[in-house]
Amino acid sequence: MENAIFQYEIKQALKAPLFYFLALLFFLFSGVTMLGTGGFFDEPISSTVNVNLLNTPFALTNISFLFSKFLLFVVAILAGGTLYKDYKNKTHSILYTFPISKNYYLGGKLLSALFLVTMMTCITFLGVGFGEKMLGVSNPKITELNISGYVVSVGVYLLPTLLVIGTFVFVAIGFTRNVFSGFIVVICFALFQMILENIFFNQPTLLAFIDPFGQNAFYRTTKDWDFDLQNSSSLPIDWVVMLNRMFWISIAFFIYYVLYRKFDFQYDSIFPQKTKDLLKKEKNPTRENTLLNSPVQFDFSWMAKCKAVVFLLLFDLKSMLKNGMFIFLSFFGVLTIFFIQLRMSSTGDFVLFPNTRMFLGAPLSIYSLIIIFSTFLFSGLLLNKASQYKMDAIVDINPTGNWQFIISKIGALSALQLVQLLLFLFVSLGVQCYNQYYNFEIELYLFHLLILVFPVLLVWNFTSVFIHSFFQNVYLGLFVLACIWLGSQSFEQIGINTSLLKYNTLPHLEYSDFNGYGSQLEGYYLLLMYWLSLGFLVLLSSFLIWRRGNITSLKERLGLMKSRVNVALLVVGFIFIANFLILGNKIYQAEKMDKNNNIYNQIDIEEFKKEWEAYSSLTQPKIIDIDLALDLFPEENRFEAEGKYILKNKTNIPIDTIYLRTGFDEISKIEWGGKAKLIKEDKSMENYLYELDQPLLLGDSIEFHFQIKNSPNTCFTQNSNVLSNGTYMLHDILPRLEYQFDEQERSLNDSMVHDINYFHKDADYLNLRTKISTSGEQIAIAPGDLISKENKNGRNYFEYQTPHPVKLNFSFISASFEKTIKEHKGISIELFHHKNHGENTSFMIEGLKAALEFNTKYFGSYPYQNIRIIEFPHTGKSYSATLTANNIPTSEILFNMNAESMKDKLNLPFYVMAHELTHEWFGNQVMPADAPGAKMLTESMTEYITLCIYRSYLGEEIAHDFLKLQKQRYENGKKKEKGEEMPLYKVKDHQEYISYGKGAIAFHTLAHKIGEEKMFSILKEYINQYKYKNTYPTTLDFIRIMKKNTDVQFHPSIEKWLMEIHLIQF
Amino acid sequence: MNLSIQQIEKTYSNGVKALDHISFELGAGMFGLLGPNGAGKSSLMRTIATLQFPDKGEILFQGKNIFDDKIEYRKSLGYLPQEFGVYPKESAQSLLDYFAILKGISSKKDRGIAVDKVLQITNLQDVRKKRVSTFSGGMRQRFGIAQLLLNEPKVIIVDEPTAGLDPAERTRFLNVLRNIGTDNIVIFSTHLVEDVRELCHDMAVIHQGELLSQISPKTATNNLKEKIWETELDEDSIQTLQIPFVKLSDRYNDENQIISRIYSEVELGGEFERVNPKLEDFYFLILKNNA
Repeated sequence: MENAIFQYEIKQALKAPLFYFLALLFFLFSGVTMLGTGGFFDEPISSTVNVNLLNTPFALTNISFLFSKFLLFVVAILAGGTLYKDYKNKTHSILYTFPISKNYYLGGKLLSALFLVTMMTCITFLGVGFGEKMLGVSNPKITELNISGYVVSVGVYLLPTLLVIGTFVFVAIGFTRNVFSGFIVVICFALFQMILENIFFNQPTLLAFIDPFGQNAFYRTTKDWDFDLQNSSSLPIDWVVMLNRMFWISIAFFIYYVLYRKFDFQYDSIFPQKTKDLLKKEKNPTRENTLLNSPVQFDFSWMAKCKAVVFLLLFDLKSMLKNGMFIFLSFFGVLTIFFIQLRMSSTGDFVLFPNTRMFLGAPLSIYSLIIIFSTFLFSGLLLNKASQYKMDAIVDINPTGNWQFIISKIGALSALQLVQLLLFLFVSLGVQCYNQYYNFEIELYLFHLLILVFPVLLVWNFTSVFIHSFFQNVYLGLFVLACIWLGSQSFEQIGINTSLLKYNTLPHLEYSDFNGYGSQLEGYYLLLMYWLSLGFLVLLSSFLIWRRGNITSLKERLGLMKSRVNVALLVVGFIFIANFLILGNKIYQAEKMDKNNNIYNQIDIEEFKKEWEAYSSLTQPKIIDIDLALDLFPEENRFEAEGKYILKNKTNIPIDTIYLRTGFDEISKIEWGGKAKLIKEDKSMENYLYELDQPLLLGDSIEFHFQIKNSPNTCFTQNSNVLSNGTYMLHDILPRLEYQFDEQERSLNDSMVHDINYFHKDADYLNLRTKISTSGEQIAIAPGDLISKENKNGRNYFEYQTPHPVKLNFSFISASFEKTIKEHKGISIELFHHKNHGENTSFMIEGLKAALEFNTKYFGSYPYQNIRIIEFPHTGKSYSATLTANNIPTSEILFNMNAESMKDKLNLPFYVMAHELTHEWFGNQVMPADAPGAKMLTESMTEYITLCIYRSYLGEEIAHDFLKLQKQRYENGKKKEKGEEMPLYKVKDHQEYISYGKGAIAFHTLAHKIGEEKMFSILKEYINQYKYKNTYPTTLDFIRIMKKNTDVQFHPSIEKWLMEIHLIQF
Repeated sequence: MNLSIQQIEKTYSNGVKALDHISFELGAGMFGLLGPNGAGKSSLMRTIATLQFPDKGEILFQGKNIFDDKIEYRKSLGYLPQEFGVYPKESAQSLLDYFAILKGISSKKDRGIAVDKVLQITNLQDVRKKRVSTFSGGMRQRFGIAQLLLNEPKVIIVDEPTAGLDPAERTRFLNVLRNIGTDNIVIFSTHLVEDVRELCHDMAVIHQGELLSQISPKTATNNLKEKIWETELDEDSIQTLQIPFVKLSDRYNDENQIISRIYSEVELGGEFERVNPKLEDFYFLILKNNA
């Protein structure tokens, strides 16, 4: 009998077009994903090194985890379908009278469901195999076919996971007899994994054991794999993986057993209905019989209709809020957010203040997804509720307009979304309280949730109602909605970048305490209005296709649609279409302008290189003096600048041609005062060649003037870094005398290597005078000493001058600041920060003081009167702090760290300040030559000195932790290294795991061997030899100094640590 | 009050012709719609209830096509389908309140009165706080009547409401219908002739989508006076007598013998006993004549 049920179910499923539709879709999806990742649609690549292979067991298993999330949807349909069908078609009442046992019935149904899931999983991976075959072994990302990879990724990870979740779905439908419960189960599984990952992130073995997807068991097994192992090794299946799989399979068996025990062949519900109420008689029937004659008022006025809408809305809302599935999903959603937020605010080593903007970032994105999917589900549930309970006929014949039904359901779903958003608000506030963070920004929460996020959810609400009105089949409706959502997320992957087509997808917004959302809002609102216009059109269409009554044919439906068209609908529809088109055109124009502004879209870089590379070797003068007048207009997000460069020929070669390039985002005008003429230009790349009337001889100088302003901003792109509050601009707005694609790597032994510094070809040390103006309420800061300040015509003017020639590394900042000043041995430490960001200032000042104390003691005096720490908004900037002359612009993020709770650990604010100021000696006073290993002379030395500062000021234990972190950094980086690991003295720019991680350990170890005082004296000698010199040192120069000052017995160690690659013992 | 069904035709997308040129007129009072299963009764009911459109023909209520302004017509409409369910976890009172708002009773006070009124009529006031999903079949049908009465409808459509009810509930239910059927148009479909005989002053028989007859039950039985006979002879034996007859039905007598009931316009004697006509005889006769 079981066999008969099994066979019948399989035959039925294979007869349905839905199965083939899903199979084709997943086959194509996996195949195209494989082809796309393999570069099938891109230009061919020839290099076979440093490429992550796609068909190794490691890669295939990772792919399987990606697909497992998409396949969950199929599991919800297939695994629940076999059982639900009987309830839906009411065949269960007949089936249950057959002489079949529970075991035969449920077993047959479950096995057929799991068989279908298995088939779909195999078809999906056939798609992967098809993609691999199409790419072929000639593709650099494809290696020889490895069947074991497919067997393990599907057999050990993907399939058991899907079968376990499939069993859960089956059991859920068995218990609830509700088709939607299957979808709730799969969503909850995805959330459950997220919850576990956020609770047990520092207990990897436990996490590996309980992760229902087995993903973390896989990560645990392969965490130490380096790039080569990932590309070559087969997958070991260790005891944790096996236990994890066995654990979840056992749980699946158990819950199936529970269903089996509870299940009986009564055909209403497993949960008994309360019937005892019926027996209890009401003591006081409500009204007297005389009421039979009381008149009742029927009211069909607009007001009454609106009142009815509100009543229906509340009725539906109440039913959804009481719905077990909603409660279950909300519970999981809330738990997920709670643990994500908890983890975000404390990642172990770094503790951040759990501020509002952090919670409105990633956690809200994840939560919005939960709301979107629950909107898909609950709209289906609500729209099909009357027919599901066979109440549609007695509801549909009432004198209630379709619009009343639609608006009330839209309203109920919107209210449900608002309830979910409120839950998010309460959880966030709860986590903030839990972390003793009481700066509640309720206004910001409400603005973000209600004004920025809710309209997006509303459009999804309209869309869901439309789709579920259109399709009577709930599965099909949900499937189409999932495809729309997935499509909107995937357009970019197939090369479609226009926001016009990414359905209801809005850009991620970043918030800063300085300028809020700033200019991002303009583009956001534009897109929001665009999608809302379409959303309202979709809503209007729902009126036309609303299902009411018994419609059996398409012809009938079309006839009904036609009958519902009226003038009012046409007028409103026209308004929304016009609005949609007008806004669409505005977006199109803005995107077109952005595309035109992006020079990389305009020109062929290779062509440009061919034409201009020859000029990169032209001997050029150096910039020795800059006069800059910079006017910032924060309210208008723009700037204007003018200034003067003095160039000097420092070579013996007469210079008659100047190579100049100006900023891409700026409009620049160069004026030579008749001393040079333009002989070649590339306007799109802003590269120019000028021929001088008189060649510049050794020691000769020439000056030119320039005017710069930013290109106009569009609603999507801001071409200036001028913000309404918190402007942070770098020297990249200024004209430069160098070819930007200089890829020539100089040898350490090049005879010219000492002439050019690592940072800039066109400048050694130079003087800078800046007159900077900004709005009346802001302070503007530039490098150097403040010479004067005044307020004129409501604007603030400041004049700065560097007290001596400095490295060309400038920042220009303007904001409303709160200022804190401390004095340390005659040097003024000035902190400019946002008024609410004062928590970490003492740690920062301590870091600066410690670095000042230490470096001046060992390496010479600090060359400025003051040091400024200046906070800038975190938005759009990835780096946390950098030293520009006597200024350390520092990201808002560092001010939002809970340094108090980190003070016994790394204490990041202290560390960053100590590190940055140490660069004054290692990076500014001495600039390395433009040669391999330059970062050893900047970052390695600085990181080592920071370690010494840690030891002196925070104690041995914290210094030891610091060193451990560096070792971890080195080991992690080494695993991820796709190229060649270089020895320290030849470290490449991007190899920070060597320059920072190994560098600190190397210098620390060598200091330990030769004596710390010795190391400091060597470093001092190195500084003294190269400080402010136009002859720049290489790593070999430093090693020479080191060897010269140490006994020969230490030389092997010096070579080992600085010039070789070896295993670090710690 | 008048409801006029004129030349209604309906063919479903699977090709089944459910209604074929159906026309009849209705006034106030109980109207029985008789027909075997699949005759098209429910299709006709659904069409009169505006739940589906006829392919051809029109339905006029008080002279106006009901499909021209469905909402206006629905204000006067009450409908109880053959099979209906209710939202679980909702009490009778709460669901009736819900229906009352759908039917245009805006004021909360009026809704309360209307709900109480229909609960009293249907004798459900004692269980008004109980979940309807837990009601017995008869109670659920009475609830169905309660919901349709909320808007004091002029046109009431009840589709096979007594199917599955026990005799006591059936009687109770028919009494409720009888009370409301005097001033309104009540269209009552059934395949139980007895129901029509007990309740209706007018009736129609439809079969395979066609209207076979519209007649009052009384006239229908009167027309058969003197023409209905019972006999113990079987059908073959009767045929050997070469008399014109139509066999209507069989029954067993106390001796467990089959008694055949036949229609014959000629005078019969001997083995044949003249009996009083019943409405069933008319029903079977008309079905046989149109088979």
